[in-house]
Amino acid sequence: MSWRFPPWGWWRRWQAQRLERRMAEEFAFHRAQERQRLETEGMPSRQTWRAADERFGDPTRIAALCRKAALGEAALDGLNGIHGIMAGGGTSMTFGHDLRHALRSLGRRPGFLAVVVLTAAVGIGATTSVFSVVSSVVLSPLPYPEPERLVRLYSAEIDEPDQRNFLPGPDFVDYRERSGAFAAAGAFYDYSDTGLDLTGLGTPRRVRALGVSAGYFDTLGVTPLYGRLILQEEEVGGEDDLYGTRVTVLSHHLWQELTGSDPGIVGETLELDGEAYTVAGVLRPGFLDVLHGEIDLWVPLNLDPGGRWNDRRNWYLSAVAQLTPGVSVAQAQARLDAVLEELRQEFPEDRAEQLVQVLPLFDDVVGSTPSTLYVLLGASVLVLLIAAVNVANLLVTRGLTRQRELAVRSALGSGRLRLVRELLLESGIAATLGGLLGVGLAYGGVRALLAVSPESLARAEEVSFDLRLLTFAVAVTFLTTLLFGLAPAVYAARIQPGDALRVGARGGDVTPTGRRIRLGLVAGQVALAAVLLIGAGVLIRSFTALQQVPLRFDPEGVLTFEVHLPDSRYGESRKRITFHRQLHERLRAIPGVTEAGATSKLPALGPYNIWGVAWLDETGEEQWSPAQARVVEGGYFEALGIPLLRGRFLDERDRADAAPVVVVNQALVDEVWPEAAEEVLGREIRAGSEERRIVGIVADVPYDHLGSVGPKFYMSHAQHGDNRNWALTQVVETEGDPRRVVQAIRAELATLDAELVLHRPAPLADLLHRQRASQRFVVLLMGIFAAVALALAVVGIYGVLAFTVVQRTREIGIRVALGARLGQVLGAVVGQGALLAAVGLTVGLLAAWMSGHVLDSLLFQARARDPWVFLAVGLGLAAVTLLAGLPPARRAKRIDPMVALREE
Amino acid sequence: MTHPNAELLRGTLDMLVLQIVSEGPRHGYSIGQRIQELTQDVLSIEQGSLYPALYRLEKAGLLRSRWGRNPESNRRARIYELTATGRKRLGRDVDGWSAFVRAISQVISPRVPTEGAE
Repeated sequence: MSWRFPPWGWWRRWQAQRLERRMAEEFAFHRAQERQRLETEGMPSRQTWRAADERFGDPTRIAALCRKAALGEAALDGLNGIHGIMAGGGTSMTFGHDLRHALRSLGRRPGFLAVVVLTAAVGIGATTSVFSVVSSVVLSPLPYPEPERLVRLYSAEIDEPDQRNFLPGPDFVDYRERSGAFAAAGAFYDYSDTGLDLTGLGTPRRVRALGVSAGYFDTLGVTPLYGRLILQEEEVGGEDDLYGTRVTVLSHHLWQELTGSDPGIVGETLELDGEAYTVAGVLRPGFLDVLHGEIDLWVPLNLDPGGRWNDRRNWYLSAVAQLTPGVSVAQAQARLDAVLEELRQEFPEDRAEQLVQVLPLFDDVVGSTPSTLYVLLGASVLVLLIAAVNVANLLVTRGLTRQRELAVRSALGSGRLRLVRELLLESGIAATLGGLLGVGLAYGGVRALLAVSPESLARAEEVSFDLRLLTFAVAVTFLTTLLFGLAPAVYAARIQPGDALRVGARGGDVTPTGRRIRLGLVAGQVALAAVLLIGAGVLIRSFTALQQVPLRFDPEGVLTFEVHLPDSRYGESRKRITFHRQLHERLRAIPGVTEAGATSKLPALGPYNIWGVAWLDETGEEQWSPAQARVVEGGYFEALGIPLLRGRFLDERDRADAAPVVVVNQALVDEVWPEAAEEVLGREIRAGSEERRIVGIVADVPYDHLGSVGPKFYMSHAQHGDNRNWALTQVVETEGDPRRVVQAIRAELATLDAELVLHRPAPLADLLHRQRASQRFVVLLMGIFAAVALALAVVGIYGVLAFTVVQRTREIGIRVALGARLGQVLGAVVGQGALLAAVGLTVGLLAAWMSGHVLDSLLFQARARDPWVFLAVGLGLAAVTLLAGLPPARRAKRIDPMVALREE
Repeated sequence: MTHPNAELLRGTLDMLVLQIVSEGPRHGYSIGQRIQELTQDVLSIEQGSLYPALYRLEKAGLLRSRWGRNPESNRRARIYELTATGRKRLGRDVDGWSAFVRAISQVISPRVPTEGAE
């Protein structure tokens, strides 16, 4: 091996390549001329091929002689000979050489490269970004590390194992300490609707507090921004105390509001319900207490077994836990069962009928079928497949146009391995570029999607690429590109050099297989696009159906807000009742306000307070039926436009000292007295732990966004205000934009009680809108998928038809020369497109029909096999496919027969 | 028709090519056609074997080539023309060849008439 001056080697290789190209072209030209001459001599065109080849002689041998002649003695064996020279430079030089060759080859067709790269990038980018956002924002309700290790603990009765009951405090402690199943476990007391009064720091206010055990934050994997979290030794308090040691952990937002982000708050004290609490720590921003929503601060629970709350028969705690690594849910269940068995020995009376249940937290929060996830994952894979098919098609088509080049080179002695390596490199470069751009698109896509995602979903800091999908997408693209990039090498190997050389310079299908593969790929693409479009179409129909759910009340012009009354000054229910009545009077006096009222829970935003009602049937037997309770005040029904069907609304007459009354909805009447609806007024039912006389029946309003209605009863706040310090939501009906009255309301509130805070003012329409935001987002994402799929399918069909026209230029030219009408030429091209569309559509529609059940669980009042959607997608896709055939058809139309014939 | 010895052909092909190109620039195919035309197909060789000769002559600096247009089909073709060196060489070769032919003829020719006489 001798060292060579590198530029010399490069020069030689460059020379050698130039020579190869020159020979290929020169020889081809020579034979074409000879064929022409033979034809003019009267030889049948078909025979001229062979005759010209024979007359030319063996191209391999001739090429070898030419190389020897042109390059000197060194070039013995064609390109393989060149490699012989390069062996001195080692394999890296071979690679570098091939790389440069590949780059040049790609550079000759920048348009082709761009389309391949873009298609691959769109496939990777769209898929990964949409799926990442969906999986981490919409579908991961557990923004905690290792959510799969989180479980929820419930107690249940043996008769009804599906119950999700509270746990007694000591039981929770036993499970935590004795089972060994948990790395951390946290109990919390979330039964109370009320909060705590925060005083001693700025304006007094009502805050949402949550009593938790020491392990609560550890379970959710939260660390403090400042200070520390709650300690186990702080789970002790006085005998009557619900809460333990007087320390508190502040949420990030409360800390910011209270102190303007001053870390010095740690160690300071603030007053909660008149007692001094030391601030132990501040949580990081972005911690979302999914189980409770916006909590302002956390305080330790009193888990002292001596406390009144911690009686073995007081079921009052909820619990979450983080499984010890390696312990499965089933194993944890078994260990807890064992602990419960010990407890049964100790407390046979209380525990004999009890069960303990361990449920994955995800299932508990989401329900057991995260089908949205699977549907979107499926859609991602479909888009990816369509992109891959497109790339494959482009490469195969490109391969056909290069058949000749490769066949010549193969004939001239270029080793097959060499060609394969070169093609692999070319495809590899394209795939790498596509992959890089795809990752970039995925990144940008995530940002863009977050920008348009509903406010409630914008948890930007939690969005991360779904690495598994990104890897999968990149891998699929690479494999496709490499595999189909090799197609030309396969052709080149299979085709007799003579055959290939006969094909016109523009290339074309030599083998029917190649043609079938390409057409099959395009038809497959149409099929995949059809499946996606139908999926998106059905979801959109479901969504519009959801939009059209009758609300049965009128949210327009209604402003809602909350005012929390601190127990320190509004401890007596009389004061709270008076406050609300005065507030509503003042609100009604504001210009533009037509009605004011309040409710314990707004309609259509979810079920709440399922208390039930009891009544005596004809036989005097007490019956019970589940029903939701609402505490209302002022002109609540009027403000929301809920119609009165019978009797009267609740009003000023229903004072605390008057006879207890209740208003029920139609659903409750239907449930309890379906036969005797006329005689309901005046009947007594037990509701809200008191006998109440029914004074009115109102129309049903849905309690959730799906339009569900159920039995409901309304009590006057004046008559039920002593039950607790109700956190009522105020409802103000206005003329026009409800936001305009916020300032006036704030002023009225200040005159009533300057220390009260107007909390969360928002138009009711916005709240309802937000409720549907996540659904709308899923529909938007499916729409994006469908659009990308459609675009890719159009590109695919266009590409194939355009190629066909180029390939058939001569044939078309002859037909035009022979007098074919324009329509016939167009028909031939468009007809092929139509055939592709028809085959693809048939397969796609069938597939969509058969897989329809997958979507069923996601749909609201829509069918996965909606014939209208099928029809619309079928027609639309057919039309688009035909349109994609038009530009190639126009090109075919413009073919000049003279030019076309000369080209060959 | 008898085929002249291949060795003889190879030695004379270079000269023929130079001679034809000296008439004006031509592409490879046309050079081949011209050879056949001028030799009345006596030199009916493999057409392809013309190319190693062309490449050798170009390498030797007797010919030069460039891409041009085939006037008939407007297709790209490699056009060859004679260099100054080539022209000189052609002159020398033709002189040498003529001398050679004369010499050989003088040896061979007298026998020719006797063939049919016996």
